[in-house]
Amino acid sequence: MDYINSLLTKTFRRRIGKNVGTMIGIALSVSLMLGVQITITSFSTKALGFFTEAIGENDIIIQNFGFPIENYQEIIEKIDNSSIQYAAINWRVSQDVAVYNLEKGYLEKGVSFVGVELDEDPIFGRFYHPDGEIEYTKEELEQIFSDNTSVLVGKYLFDDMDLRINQTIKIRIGELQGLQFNYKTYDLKVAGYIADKEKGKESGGRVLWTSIDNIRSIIGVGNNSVTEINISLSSNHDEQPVSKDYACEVEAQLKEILDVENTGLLVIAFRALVLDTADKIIKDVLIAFNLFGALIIFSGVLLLVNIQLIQVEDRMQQLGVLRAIGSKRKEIIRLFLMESAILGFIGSLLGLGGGYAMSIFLVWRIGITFFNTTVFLTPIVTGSAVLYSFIVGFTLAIGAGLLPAIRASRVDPIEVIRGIKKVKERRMGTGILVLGISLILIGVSTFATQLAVGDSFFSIQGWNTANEQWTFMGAVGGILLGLSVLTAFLVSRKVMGNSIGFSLITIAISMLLFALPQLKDVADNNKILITCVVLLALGTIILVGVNLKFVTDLVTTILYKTKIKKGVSLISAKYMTSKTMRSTLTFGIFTLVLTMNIFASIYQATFSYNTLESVEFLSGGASIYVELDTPIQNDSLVDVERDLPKVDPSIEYVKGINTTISLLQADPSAKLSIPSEIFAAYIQLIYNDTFKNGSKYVFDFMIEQSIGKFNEEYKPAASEEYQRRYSHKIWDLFYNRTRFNRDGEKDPNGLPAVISTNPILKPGDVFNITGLFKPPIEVIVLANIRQYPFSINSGFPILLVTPDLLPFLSYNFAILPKYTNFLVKTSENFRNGRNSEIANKIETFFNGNESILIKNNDFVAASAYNVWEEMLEQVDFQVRTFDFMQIFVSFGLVVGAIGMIIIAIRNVSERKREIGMMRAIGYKKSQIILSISLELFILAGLGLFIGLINSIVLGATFARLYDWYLIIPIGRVLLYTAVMIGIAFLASIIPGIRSSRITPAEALRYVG
Amino acid sequence: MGDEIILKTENLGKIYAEGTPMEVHALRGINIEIKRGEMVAIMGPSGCGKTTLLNLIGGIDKPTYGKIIIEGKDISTLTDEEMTEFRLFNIGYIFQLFNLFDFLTALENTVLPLLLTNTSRFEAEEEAKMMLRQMGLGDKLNHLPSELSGGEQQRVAVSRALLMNPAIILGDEPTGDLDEMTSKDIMDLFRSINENFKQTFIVVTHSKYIAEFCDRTIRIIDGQIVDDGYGGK
Ligand SMILES: Nc1ncnc2c1ncn2[C@@H]1O[C@H](COP(=O)(O)OP(=O)(O)OP(=O)(O)O)[C@@H](O)[C@H]1O
Ligand SMILES: [Mg+2]
Repeated sequence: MDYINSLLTKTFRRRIGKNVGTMIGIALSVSLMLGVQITITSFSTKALGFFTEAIGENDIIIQNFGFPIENYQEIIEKIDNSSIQYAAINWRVSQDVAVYNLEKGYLEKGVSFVGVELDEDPIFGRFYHPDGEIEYTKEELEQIFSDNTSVLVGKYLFDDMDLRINQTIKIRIGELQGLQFNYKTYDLKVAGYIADKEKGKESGGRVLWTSIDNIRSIIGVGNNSVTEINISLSSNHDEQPVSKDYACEVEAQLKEILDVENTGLLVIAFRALVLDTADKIIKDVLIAFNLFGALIIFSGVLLLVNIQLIQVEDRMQQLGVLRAIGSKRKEIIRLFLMESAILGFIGSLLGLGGGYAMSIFLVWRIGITFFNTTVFLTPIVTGSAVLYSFIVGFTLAIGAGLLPAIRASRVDPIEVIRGIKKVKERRMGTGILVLGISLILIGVSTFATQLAVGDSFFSIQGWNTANEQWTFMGAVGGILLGLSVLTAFLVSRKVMGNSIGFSLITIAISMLLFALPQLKDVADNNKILITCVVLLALGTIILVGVNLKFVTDLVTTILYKTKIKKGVSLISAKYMTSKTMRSTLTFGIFTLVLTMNIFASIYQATFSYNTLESVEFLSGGASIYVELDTPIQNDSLVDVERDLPKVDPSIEYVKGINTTISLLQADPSAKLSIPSEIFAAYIQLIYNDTFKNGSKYVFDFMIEQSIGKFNEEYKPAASEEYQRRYSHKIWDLFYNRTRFNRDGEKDPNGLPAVISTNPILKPGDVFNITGLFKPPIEVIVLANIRQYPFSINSGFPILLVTPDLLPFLSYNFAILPKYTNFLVKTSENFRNGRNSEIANKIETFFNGNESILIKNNDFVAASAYNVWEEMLEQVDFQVRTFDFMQIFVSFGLVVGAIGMIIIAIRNVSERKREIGMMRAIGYKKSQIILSISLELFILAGLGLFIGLINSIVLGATFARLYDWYLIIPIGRVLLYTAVMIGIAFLASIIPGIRSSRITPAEALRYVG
Repeated sequence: MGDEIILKTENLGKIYAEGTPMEVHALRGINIEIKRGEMVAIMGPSGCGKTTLLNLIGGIDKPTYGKIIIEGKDISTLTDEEMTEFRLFNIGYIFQLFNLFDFLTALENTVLPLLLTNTSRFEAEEEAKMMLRQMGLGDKLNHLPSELSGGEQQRVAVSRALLMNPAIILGDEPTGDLDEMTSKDIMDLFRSINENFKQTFIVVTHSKYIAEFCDRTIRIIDGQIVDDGYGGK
């Protein structure tokens, strides 16, 4: 015991230099693992928080779609008598209004005007005095609201509109008359503002507050009516979160209690829905995060394995000596395990610190990039991330200690001491045969069951679900890997390695090429995507690793043709092949890192180019898009289609579109990928001549995908002329009110067709449009368009429908034919023209103090967008996202490089004697540097080359996935490659120089 | 055997770790003269400074004081670069153990020095093959060291040392790890090369038996020459 302990401390101290290297290696890779996980968690938490902040503690909203809910007390009673346990409930009357500060000429659209009960449960927020400390008392509030025009303003709105206390503001508000809103202008008095202190009453601070009685009298709602009922299921969601499933359960229960089928009430698990939507919005960024995160973690693991392999080989010598002097195997295992455990433990602990430090930086960058804040965001550390990273690091470290001990039981101590390795080609046992055959059987039987099942990937539409793709990938993977494993039994391990490599590459590329495009709109293709990228990287690394000898022979032949002395080339090339595993890991790291960097830049360039290139084409000729918050009440004052061209001589054509919000209800049998079975959508009415002037298309929106047989004619990559002709055919079907059956064939008795602008409603999807007090009507999606002007400002899906569906839509259409949206065509150049200026003029035309509408008290809040500018902003977000990704992956790069240097230096000390021998033979110092550096440099170069090819392949398949034109940003690619070559150069020259410092006499005395 | 002096040391000394408590005075004023074509054995107890002397002669270590003159040139004044070049063309090295790169074949191990010159690869390999065949390794050209016996490994090392046709061949216990039979083979080989090509051999050995193959035996004790005489043949 004492003997072992003293041996342990002694060897540990002697090997301190090497151990520090190993420890840093472990620490670096653990840092990568943890840092990546913390960063991703922090991003998604922060992003979700962004969305939930405005909701407060609200879980469920009951609405009548802006119309009053009659006899709300009965509803509250029903809820109270049910088994639903809520934390708080309230009822309010509210409406979205536009607010004018005529003194300063400011206009704010989409402000909530909310009337509350003065004793509302504080869970829904409190009113704070401007100092942010003291609450308004009930008496104070009663006093303020005793004048029914007095309102309290949210701090944000107060500052933003430059309001002052006691001033008068005007709002545009809909007064209910019968079942229809009349819009009127109403004066309010600013009685004060409330501090932006806590979530709840604030909701972003863009609110005008009054009492429920006051607002009732303003918009003409009876005492028994409210417009919304809010239910909170938890008084503090941070501490006691409410699961999405539970919220939806309550939603379903409420729907039954309130008999929504007949009353037409809208019950929404609002919080769950918002979180769901937020999930979808941040999904794009998360895909990229996860993709690169997976690759970074992967390279961290490669680094770890690499450094541990050195550790293993390094100790073989010691092991032999220990065995020879008579140490028991148990003692040796204990000795080595203890050392590994100490290294692994300290290294992993250091790694946790490093990972946290890395995430601090990354999370700070996230704040700047995504949330426009320089405020320090705290990284969110989850126990599972820490545990995962620590366990992986620690386990691999221990494994590396165990491995030599296990190997030691197999080798003859003498052999180890003399450094002679007996090359034994081990036969593959029957175990491998069984494994191979069972893999094949699993694959084949999967195919067989798929044949038997109806809707499998063998049917024509059989590729379109993620499950089918996973199954297919698994089945093909099983067969190919099974066959590969069998070749090991039948032929050789080398052939097995080759076929495994090829199989992985084939699976990855063919999935990317053929399978993924089939589900381009399905949300969960990101997992398949990441898997494919990792498979591709793994496949290429295995392939090159297995054929390293061939590759290095090739490299040697090339090197022989250069001025480099052949003795140098020979040593570096042969050394590479002698340590196949380690060499493979080394270039594997470079492959991964470059794959990430270059792929990111190709993706970014391709995305921005294609998005921007297509904007003009897909804008349908509308360079400006105008939205009014409410229709113009007095149309004798302004006829927009007629009067807008007078605003600027460049305006050529203006077309109005009627818009309303409606409810869509999914047919439960149709599997739509939407979060809730009922959701709201904007409906735009399209007449026969909406986009046309005679037979000529003035606004010409392109159809992307369409129903049934028409879709087969669609060629995504065809010329613009072709796409126009194709689109016109579909538009004509739509204008002619062609009906379709569920199979997508023309059928006079079929369903009316609508056009979708949102990828979640796809051609062929069938659902109900539910109107208020109207029977729902079933419709089918004829086609999908990407129409930038329409999709500018809306989170809701937008549907284009023909006016014959009007009777089935909600009541807002009663105010027809008043337009609220306008497409504007100008003669200006789409990109460089004066469109922004014209858009400003249009806004002034509606909103400015000189506006005829304002002067006549017909306040209409208008927004006019320059479509090109809006798109630039969206693309800019993507560009920034990818810039951030570059920083993100750069950590992989830096850590990879440090790891490489450590590994290389360890290599040098391992080869000390060889270096001495070379010097004795007559290798000059410079030749020693060259042969050590060359070896690493070639490996790195190999990795870079494969990484480059991988990333171009990935970029190309991505481009194909979205029908994009592939852009390879040569400048950036060269830059990253140059940086990587620089790092490779450093990583190879440092150990080279170190090796040349070894004096030959010293080296020759060195034996391990 | 001519009388030309190929190697001469003057008051050669080596102090390791000078000025530290670990200081070792490994060589103390060595004066030797070796003629071209001579075959010299260096003997002495372990730690007496044999390897140190060989390293100084071979120029892979620097003397603390004194001179080494090879072919009339004082090599202690050469720069590292010049010394390396000198070594490549004029000195062949054979060590006791681990003489070979274990990732290179017999042929590759042998051909290395020639590949540092401007000789074409083909020519270099042909020469190396010839050398190996002469050593009786014609059928082992593509074997890795681990696939060769100890004697065969040493013969590969000898082939490499001889390949550049150097004037001086230094062997640090070149047979120390081999049995008597194989040692004799190697020494016979040295002898015949020495006779045929007139190369100078300086061989460190512990074994009288080996020393007997040489023209002359230098004995060193504690860093000093105690005996320098022509015995053996
Ligand atoms: N790098 C060094 N630093 C300090 N002392 C050294 C160093 N190299 C050798 N020595 C010491 O110098 C002395 C001579 O060593 P050398 O290797 O020349 O002996 P040797 O005669 O070859 O012995 P052996 O027959 O055992 O090989 C020894 O005492 C040794 O410990
Ligand atoms: Mg010695």
